[in-house]
Amino acid sequence: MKSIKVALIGNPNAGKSTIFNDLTGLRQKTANFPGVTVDKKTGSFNIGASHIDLLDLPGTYSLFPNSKDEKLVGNILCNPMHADFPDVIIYVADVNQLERHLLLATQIIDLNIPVILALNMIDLFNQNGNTIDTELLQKKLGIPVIVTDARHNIGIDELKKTLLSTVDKISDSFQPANIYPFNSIEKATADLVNKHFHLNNTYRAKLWAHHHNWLDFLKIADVIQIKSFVGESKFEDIRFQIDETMARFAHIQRIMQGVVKSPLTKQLDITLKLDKILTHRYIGPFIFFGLMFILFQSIFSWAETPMTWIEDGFSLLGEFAKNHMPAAWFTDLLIDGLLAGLSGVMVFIPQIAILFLFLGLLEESGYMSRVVYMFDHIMQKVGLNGRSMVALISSGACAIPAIMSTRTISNWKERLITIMVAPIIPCSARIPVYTVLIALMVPHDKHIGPFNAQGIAFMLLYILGIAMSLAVAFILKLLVKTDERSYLMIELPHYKRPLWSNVFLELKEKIFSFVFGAGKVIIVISIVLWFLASFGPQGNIEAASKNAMLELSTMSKDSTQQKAYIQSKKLEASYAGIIGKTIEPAIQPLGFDWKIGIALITSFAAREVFVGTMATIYSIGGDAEESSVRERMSIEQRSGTIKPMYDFATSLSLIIFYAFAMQCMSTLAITKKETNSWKWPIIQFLGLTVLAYLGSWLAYQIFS
Amino acid sequence: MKSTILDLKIGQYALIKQFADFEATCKLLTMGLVPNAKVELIRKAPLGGALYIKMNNHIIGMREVEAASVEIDIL
Repeated sequence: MKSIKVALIGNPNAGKSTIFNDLTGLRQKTANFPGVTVDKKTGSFNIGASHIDLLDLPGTYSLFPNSKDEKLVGNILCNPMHADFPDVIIYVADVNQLERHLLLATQIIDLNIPVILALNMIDLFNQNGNTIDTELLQKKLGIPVIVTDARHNIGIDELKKTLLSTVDKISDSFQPANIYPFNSIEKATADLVNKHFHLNNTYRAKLWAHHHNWLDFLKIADVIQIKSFVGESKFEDIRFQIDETMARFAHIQRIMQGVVKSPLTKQLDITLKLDKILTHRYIGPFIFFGLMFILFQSIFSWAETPMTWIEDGFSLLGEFAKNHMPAAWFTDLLIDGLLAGLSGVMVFIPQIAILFLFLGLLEESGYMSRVVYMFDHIMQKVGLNGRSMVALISSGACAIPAIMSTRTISNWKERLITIMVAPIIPCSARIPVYTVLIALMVPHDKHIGPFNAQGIAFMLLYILGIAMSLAVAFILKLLVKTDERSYLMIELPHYKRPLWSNVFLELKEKIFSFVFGAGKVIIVISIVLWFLASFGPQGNIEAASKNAMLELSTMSKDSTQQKAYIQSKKLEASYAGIIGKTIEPAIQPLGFDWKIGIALITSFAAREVFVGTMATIYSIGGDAEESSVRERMSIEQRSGTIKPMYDFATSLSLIIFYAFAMQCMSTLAITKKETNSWKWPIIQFLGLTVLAYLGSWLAYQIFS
Repeated sequence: MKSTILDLKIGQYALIKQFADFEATCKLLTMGLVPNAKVELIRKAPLGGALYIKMNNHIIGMREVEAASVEIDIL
């Protein structure tokens, strides 16, 4: 069977992802953490005797890129040796915006890659009484043109058929259409590059001349060679980009003559009417905050029940394993290490699912672009871009996809600041920690007016996180220097009804990447933690347990209390206890003891480990539910006194530490990946830890 | 003095003439802001700083500084 590489290319909002889903169905995977068509999505299907490997490239306006995503496309299409260089391109264009969407198409035609033009969203186009002469367009462009309505799976068979016939003809030498007429300098430079590197395509040579500074496959010697060609012939990068773009638009206007009849207005009218309210001076922001309020309310209320199911399920599984497996170290490892870790990951799925479902709907409908537009100005004041809003909202679930989504921010400084402050926004992993600690500070039945006081405390913590992230962003704005320009320039797409299949596929991908990405780390940490808490230096633990039994003989305690007492003495003698005691002097000014120290250390892997660690430290054993942990913590006394350990000052200090500290290895890993350096994750880690320490210290000193 | 998109009052139409800012031009062009294209200022952003611009068949959001680089003939 012949294997053919096909790439989907098109402007943002052309409906590329929907065509991708139509073509591949469920046979698709994302190589990495997904954003909205940000990463490399691949899938496969068969037509005729050919096996098609389909690649979904990020939305791109032009081969003169403005963002990291667009540069990725440039790096692939400029390099025929690239592993992902397509044999055939399916170019998806929104037929309602055809003129604009044809810009990139004409560039690709000039690159001499076989291309099929899919005119998508034909349903809306026809509904508005428009007609298009595809045969004329086909003749003028010299490539196959078909119409699709990907949202209703219409035209997909036709697309496959066209793909089949194009694939069969690949071997025939494809004649370049040469849409863009080069000026003499461009021609001279491109010819030099073309000849020297045997590119066999003048337009590709011209792109090399434009982009040699960032094309990642060029060797240093190549870059120097191109620089000399460019200097020699006085090739002007930006001016020629502009000239070319203008010439192409002029050409497209000629192509379009007689192709489309009657412009569309209906959909635009609806969008303009909706925007009158949704982006209104006063009502617009109000609606946005209302939506966010509903979002976080639903995260808390709807997620609770499925979360209890998951927790109960895991504790049942643990019971079962305990009863049916021999009492040995590997049983402990399975139950207290592996199962506890897995449960810690799975329990967040409901919250993450609700958040991404909501965000996915907002994105699909076109509303997110309005949020970017409305808040750009205020974001600018603290060194961010309107596009940072999307990332900061996603951070409310998890900083990992949030940091991934910053790729749409073209300005490096704004993108970096967004990445650096995203982890300060309260993510879902902080929820269980906050739940336990707030309950220690604020009585359950206390009300302020009609509102539950615990709920208000929760809200205050969110406001604290958001305010701090903006404050840190402002400081970074003053510190980070850049000469790069910053742009807003955003398309506000026409509103459309979200397509459930798209939203659900996206949701599935995000949940998988959470479970496999963050999950791996959490499980590993749980196992390491289990080891540290179960073993100690030679004979240490045995001695501690013997001592504890001696002490117990003088005390009156029932058997469960005795077991728990021995357990906690053993923990004190373990490696974990030793580490906790070592750092105790450093955290004493914050009001913490060595037991909290252990929790802090384990939480540096992931915050949600806190509750599990507390359960282990206070030897609750078996299933570690939030309520039982909280009860146990509330009766804990400060060593040597009868005062409660978790008084207001200590609990507040601990909450503030968790609010600011960079306690998530997965996030650090993503920061490393996205900034492509060790410098920024290290700064992020140290900076946020110092912030957390100072904040906790201040809180404890004031309130104790 | 030449007028720019920034000089438009809400509801006013204009035709794009040329671009004053060399570096931003490419970005503007790919968003469909080409010479002779018709633009209309619909409203300003809630917190200021950005404009809501209607083109022939699509809508874009742009900063005031970006708008100030597009020279126009007011209709």
